[in-house]
Amino acid sequence: MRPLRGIILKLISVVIFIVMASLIKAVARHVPAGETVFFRALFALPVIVVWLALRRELGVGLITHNPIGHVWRGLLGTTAMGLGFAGLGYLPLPEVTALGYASPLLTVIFAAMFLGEEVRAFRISAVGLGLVGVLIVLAPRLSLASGAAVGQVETLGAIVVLGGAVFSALAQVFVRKLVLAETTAAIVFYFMLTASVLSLCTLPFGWVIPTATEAVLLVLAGLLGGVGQVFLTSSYREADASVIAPFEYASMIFALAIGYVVFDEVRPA
Amino acid sequence: MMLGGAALVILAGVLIIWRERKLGLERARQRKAMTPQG
Repeated sequence: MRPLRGIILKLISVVIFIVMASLIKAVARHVPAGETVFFRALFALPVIVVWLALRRELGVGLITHNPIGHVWRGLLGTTAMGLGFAGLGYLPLPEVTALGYASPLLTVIFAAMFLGEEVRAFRISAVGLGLVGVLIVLAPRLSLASGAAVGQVETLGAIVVLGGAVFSALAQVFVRKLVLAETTAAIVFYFMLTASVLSLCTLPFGWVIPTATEAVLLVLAGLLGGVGQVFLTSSYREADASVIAPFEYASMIFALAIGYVVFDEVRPA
Repeated sequence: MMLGGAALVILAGVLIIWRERKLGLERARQRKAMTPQG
């Protein structure tokens, strides 16, 4: 175990995923979420395949005993990804990032509901505290809470992002079942594969022809997504998950910086 | 306001990770104690 190396790899993956989210945000107003998911998943695939080949895991690692499980995981994960990407078009990057943090909290609840995991007072209290935090983040977007007229677009964005967090948590619970019999390589590869196919099914629902710049940003987002996944998976091989996982929250620092510098986003009151 | 809410969510997430690590270590200790008897 090399915890410092693991933490550095995790931080690199966090930066890559935030840059990827920024690229997607840059095109989100024009390119529909389903189309974005397609580019994100399709162009991540070659990166993952090359990485698996270099690790000599391409053959054995991709053997699956539960193909239907991968399809279900893909359905949940792709829905989560699509909702998250759609939300990027409506809300500032730091806000989407903060609402996304609801996902691990909801995973605790869903794991208790669907996997029968025992959850006692401490974790229930922590989840409650976190959900209060989510409500505080949401408050300016909800007219009832803020007492002011709020743009319907922002309210819709908040609901969409929160929906993404719910589906992401459901996908995580499913992954907890999948890892009992499937390799990490198989879970990562088949997710990108099913996401490519499922997102392609949204083609009749308003895909647009991206401009040359948008096309470059979309392809880059996919490639970065693949590279980020490689760093993320590698980080968890270097240290305990409990050491690595808290560094996910560093994404807020980068989201604030990119939101301020690139998108000129002003912090809501 | 957004940052305050985000700080609460992050605190909750870190507490859950810490608690799950503690539970994992306890389970590992229990398994180790049971191993000699099979």
